Amino acid sequence: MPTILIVEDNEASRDALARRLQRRDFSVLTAVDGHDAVARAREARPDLILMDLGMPGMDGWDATAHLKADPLTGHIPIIVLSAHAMPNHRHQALAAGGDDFDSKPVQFERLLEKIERLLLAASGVRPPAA
Amino acid sequence: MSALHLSEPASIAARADQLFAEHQRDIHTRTDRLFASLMVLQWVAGIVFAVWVSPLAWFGTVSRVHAHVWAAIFLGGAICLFPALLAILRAGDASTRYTIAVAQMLMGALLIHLTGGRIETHFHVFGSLAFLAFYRDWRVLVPATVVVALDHLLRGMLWPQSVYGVLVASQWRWLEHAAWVVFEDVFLFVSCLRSVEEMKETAIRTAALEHEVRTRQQAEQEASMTAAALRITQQQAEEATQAKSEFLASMSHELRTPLNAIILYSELLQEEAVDAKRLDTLPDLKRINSAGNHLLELINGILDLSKIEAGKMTLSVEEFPVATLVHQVVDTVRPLVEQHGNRVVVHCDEVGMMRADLMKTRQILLNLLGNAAKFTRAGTITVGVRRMSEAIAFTVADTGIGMTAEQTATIFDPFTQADVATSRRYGGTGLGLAIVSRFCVLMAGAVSVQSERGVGSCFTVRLPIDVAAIVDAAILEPAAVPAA
Repeated sequence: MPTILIVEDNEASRDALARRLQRRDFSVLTAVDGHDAVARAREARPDLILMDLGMPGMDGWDATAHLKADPLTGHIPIIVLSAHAMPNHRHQALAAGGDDFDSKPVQFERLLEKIERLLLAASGVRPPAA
Repeated sequence: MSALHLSEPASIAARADQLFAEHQRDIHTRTDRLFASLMVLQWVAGIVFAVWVSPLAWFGTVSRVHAHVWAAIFLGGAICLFPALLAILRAGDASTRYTIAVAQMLMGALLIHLTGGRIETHFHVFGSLAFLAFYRDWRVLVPATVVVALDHLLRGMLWPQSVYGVLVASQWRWLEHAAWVVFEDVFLFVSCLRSVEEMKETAIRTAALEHEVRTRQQAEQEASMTAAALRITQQQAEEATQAKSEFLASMSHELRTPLNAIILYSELLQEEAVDAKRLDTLPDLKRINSAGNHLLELINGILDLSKIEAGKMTLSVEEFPVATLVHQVVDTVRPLVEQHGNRVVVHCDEVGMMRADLMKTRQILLNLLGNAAKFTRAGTITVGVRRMSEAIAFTVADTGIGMTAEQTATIFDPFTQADVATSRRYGGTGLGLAIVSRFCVLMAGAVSVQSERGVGSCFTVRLPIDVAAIVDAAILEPAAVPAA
């Protein structure tokens, strides 16, 4: 059962997305900001991370860059989710090291497709031994 | 400005008079200075001449200085020094040049006397008259001529050899000398009058030129001020558009966050209701979900419009087969069309390829077909595509409710559905056609509508076959990188 870490500061969005993923048989972890995300990812090594961009403290851009630079978490695919619909935000998100981008409000079925595709691609890559 | 125009000739004439007067005074002053030097020179020359020419006077064995030498010193000094002083202290005054004229002629008379009435010395008179004409004032010649005539008359009567030498003197010889002087005067008068005339013309031309230069400078100054004001206004307008666009982008972001929760929860609750077999709540949950999606459409539409207005909308041009696109779009909207008992007919043969922004062309057709489906009940929606020499023409015709002429006039403006009741009955964001119109313009095309109330509407969109060849290259996106 793949584990997904949801990084999202908005409680309702976090809860709704977590419950919908759980209904699709994913194991879900949550983090409320960038610092929390980095700590949870290092400790639990999820199979995939859904990363919000605009967050207090460490934002999604910084957290993505941190995670991608860390040998413990660098292999974990990250899908950046943002309520910014401007094309430059998409570019920025991908430049920060995100593997894919989707906009909010989330179209759940489309997001699921992206998750499945990244998990499949990552399945060949084994995480380094802890 | 207008007051200045009215008094234009008067102001030029006044300025010309002023320039002329300045020029005249300048000439008078400079000529006065020349005469000041000449006076001193003549005085000294007279003395030297007297000393050189005059024999020593002998009274028995005693020699004395000749009376002519004393005359040259004292009489010459009396004649020359006063006008020389005037020329220095009161240069330019009329009285100065009249005094100089008289003095110059008296000096001539003295020199003629000192040379024993030599006829050659009379040339001094003619030279002096010519020199006086430097003043370009014919009036100066009058006292000079009078002095010469009187001098010749009186000395000719009382002391002829002083003026005519030892040659045979005649009673009327003074008149002959005076006549020659007048003969020269005539030329000098004419010369003076002509040069004054020329000076006046020059002054008028200069004044007119000055006026023209001033007018032009004023016009240039005004033009540059207008241009500066225009630049500021334009900058303000751009800043306002930018601020509005930024506000909309940030508002769109703020609205999306709660909307995300609304849509996710309504879908979650639907799934849970199905699992729990609580099917009675499903319709309400679907309404929440559809309202949330409607709100999302609105936000996206507003964002699109603000991007177009802020000039941030770009085109991603690619080549695609037109018929394929049309059939895809028709298939997408078919459920919506058939929902109200409508049928859809497509006329699209052999239209080939076009180069345009595929997503935006699709959006245009989706919006038009969506509208047609929305406002038609148990009717027909006809989609036509024709290839013309430079453009592809798409028509979407329906047999729906139609519009009045007033309604068609504003139908492409944002938030102007035909009327409020329509909006309530048929739904829609009121942004669809505004976006269609702006996308068409962005791709150097156009959209138009023909409609009749109760009969139906027909929208026609014309897009260039090769959009990239026509639109400004600045709004074209760089060629898309193929997906990895």
